[in-house]
Amino acid sequence: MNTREFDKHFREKLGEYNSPVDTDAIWAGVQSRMDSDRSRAGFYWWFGSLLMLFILIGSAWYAVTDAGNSNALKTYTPRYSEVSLPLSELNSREENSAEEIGDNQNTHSNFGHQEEFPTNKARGDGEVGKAHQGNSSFDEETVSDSRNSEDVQLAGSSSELFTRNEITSKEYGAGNFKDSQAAQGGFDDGVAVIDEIPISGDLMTPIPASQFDWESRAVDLLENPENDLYPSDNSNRPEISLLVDGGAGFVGRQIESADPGWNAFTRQRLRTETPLEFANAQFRVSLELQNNWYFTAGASFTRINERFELDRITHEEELVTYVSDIHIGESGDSTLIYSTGLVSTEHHEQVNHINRYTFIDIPVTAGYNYDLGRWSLALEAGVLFNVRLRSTGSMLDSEGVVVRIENTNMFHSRLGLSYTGSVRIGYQSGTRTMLYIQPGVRYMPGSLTERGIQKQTYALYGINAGISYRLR
Amino acid sequence: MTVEELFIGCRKGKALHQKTLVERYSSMLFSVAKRYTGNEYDAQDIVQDALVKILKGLKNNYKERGKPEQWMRTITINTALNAMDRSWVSRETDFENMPDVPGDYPDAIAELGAEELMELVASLPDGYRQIFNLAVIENFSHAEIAERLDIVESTSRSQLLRARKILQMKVREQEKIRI
Repeated sequence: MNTREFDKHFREKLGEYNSPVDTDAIWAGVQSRMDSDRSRAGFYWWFGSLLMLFILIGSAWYAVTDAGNSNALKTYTPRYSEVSLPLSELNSREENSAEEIGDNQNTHSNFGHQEEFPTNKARGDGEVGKAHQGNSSFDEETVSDSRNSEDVQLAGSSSELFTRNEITSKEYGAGNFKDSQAAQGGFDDGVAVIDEIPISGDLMTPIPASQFDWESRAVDLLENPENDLYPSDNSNRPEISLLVDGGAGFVGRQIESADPGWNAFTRQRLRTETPLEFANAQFRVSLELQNNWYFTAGASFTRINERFELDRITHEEELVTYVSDIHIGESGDSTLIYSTGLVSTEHHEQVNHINRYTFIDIPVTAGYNYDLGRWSLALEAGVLFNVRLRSTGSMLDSEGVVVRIENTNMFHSRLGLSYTGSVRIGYQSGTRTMLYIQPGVRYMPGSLTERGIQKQTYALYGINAGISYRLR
Repeated sequence: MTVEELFIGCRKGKALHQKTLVERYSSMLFSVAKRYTGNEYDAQDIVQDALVKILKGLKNNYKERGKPEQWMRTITINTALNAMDRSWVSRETDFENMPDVPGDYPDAIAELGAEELMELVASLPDGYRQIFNLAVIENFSHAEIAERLDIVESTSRSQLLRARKILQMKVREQEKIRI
């Protein structure tokens, strides 16, 4: 027996052989695996969503609480430039009657840290005097208590305080307290010592210089001075902006077979399809906290274009009759010999289509903004939840036939999660508007096609340009 | 119910059609898997994996993929090859210690049934068994085998040769036992 016969025995007997098997057990196993796949996919989706939710909530909570702490205890930025009058002007007014103002103001103040005291208007006007009476020896690191003082004449001592060289305009400006914490030493240069400030009774109403009537020395006490005089106290609240942008870039595509059986199919797709570019547009709402962290969410539209190109070669065969021989007889007559032959003509047909993959997503991002005056620089990262994926165009199927993508049922209608990272460079073009450009990358780990056949993933590298309008 | 009708039902996700498909073809696919794995336990695992792929594939894009039975066999073969240990590629290329056997193939092979032949194939080392199956039963060329298994063609040729020799020896042994 030769090799061919030997092989033939195996091929014929084993090729169509069916081994006995417990089909119920097989079916049970198949069901179990399919259920497991389904639940695993669901688990990944929900786990990913929950994780993102926790990260966003956690980041927002951290940012908000951090903002509150920093504003209350660490930084207090003077917001009224007029408060910081030159020392010369302040000193020229120091002999103003402390009684006029001091009495008025004193009805509202029982505190005594001069640095927290309403500064320019107060100094020399009795406010300061009252505030610092009994503590003429000013020390930046000392807290004064003026609760029990009655001697308004000691207001004069305030002039000494405020003419000290070490008192800076910044300190004057910062002297406007805004709440009890500020009064207790929430001073931006940190000189106040909380433990040494005895606070009792109402705190003095903070009054910026612009509100003060220098002629009458009368202070228009406001019903709600906190809000009226310090509207910018709202600065603790986040800023809300609308962002609209659009952009384009180039596409990095990867197609690979999950199964070697589809290698040839994959190769022919790689040969005939060329990624071109992508374009996108998005609308987002941004929430920016005072500590420069911001969060955005909105809607995004992205389209990827690819070229499908095929040089289709077809052969046309035609049976033709031709004269293959000519015989000329002795008498001069001629005989033509006809033959038939097959003539093959090769036709080249160029098939050229544009394939389109369209994504509708919900982008959710977090970022940190570095303020550089009119310019700003922000680092941003986040996820995009795909709600719709539409694939159209042409491709070669596994048999090498041109088919419409939308008819193959091979492409998913949703993609899952994508990840994005970008840098935003902004220019403050108006009080509320900002123009920006935003180079970035979007990575789509999810396959557009059924993974069992092919894994088709993308990375998009591009730049967006847009405008932001601050609502608050 | 024809296989096409079964496929249409499976594409729509109908459980009855899926179950019928599994019942009808699991035996055939199990034989294919067993030829590659060499044991029933692994073969059952492979068949279940392959059937899951088939049912998922049907939900997506079957109509482009040729004859139904052949497509299912291909999926099963690929699943088996992917799942199997590939370390044989380096382990089983030393043929120096193979005993010489007479050139003629024993006629006794004709008397062996499918189950006995299956046992013979199962007794081959992993690499020999894979290449023997691909070359002899599936009728793949050495170039195709080399591409699929990521080996060089000469490895495929030499391992097939050795597989045949081993089978030849085993058949002769069985022949002696019978005598």
